[in-house]
Amino acid sequence: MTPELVVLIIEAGAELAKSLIAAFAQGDHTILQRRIQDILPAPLLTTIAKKLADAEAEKKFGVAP
Amino acid sequence: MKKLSLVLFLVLTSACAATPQETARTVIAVTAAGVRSVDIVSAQAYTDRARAALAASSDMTAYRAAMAPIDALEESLRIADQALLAAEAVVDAWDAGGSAQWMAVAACVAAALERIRAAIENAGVTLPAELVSALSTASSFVGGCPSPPPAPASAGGAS
Repeated sequence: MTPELVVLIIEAGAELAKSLIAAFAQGDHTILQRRIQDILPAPLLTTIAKKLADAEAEKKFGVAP
Repeated sequence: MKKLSLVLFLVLTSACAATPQETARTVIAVTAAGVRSVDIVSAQAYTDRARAALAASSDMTAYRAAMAPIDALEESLRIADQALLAAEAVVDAWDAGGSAQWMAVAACVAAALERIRAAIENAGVTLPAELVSALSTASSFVGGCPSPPPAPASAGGAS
């Protein structure tokens, strides 16, 4: 096993651990057993924000041609 | 090297799971949790940018131009969502495709994460450092995706 490989394993493990910790820190201890539709809202929050903003813009400027 | 990285990532995640399917589900769930974190931050950033752009723009063309970078971020999040759903479907039908299909869709999820990472950088959205670091690592597996993730329907059609 080369030193480069060892470093890669350590880095990948550390990043995975960070992701898991972030999920658990959000109080989501069951996240690993949940399905995508239960983890990610549909539509996504950013998509909702875009729809609301688009509506505001259309109210001000009119519908885009 | 990228393929090796992907294999290592999947092997490392197996420490949390007993079977290859459970390993795959762990990878998907962890990635989805990361995308959710980015989505929460991006939604607030989108609202703030829209408010500023609305005040500064004189017409719809100027507004859309001002919003283009963060519109790309919104689109990249929807692409990642679709890629994750596709990966989950492959895991659900594991017997039909096995691990080879999983490796292909996992690489496409990584490609979608790379698109998010680039969009975040382009839009100048600030994320927690550990989230940026996790995105960068995961997106480094992008080389194995046979084709780019398909673009989702426009936000107007998503509901």
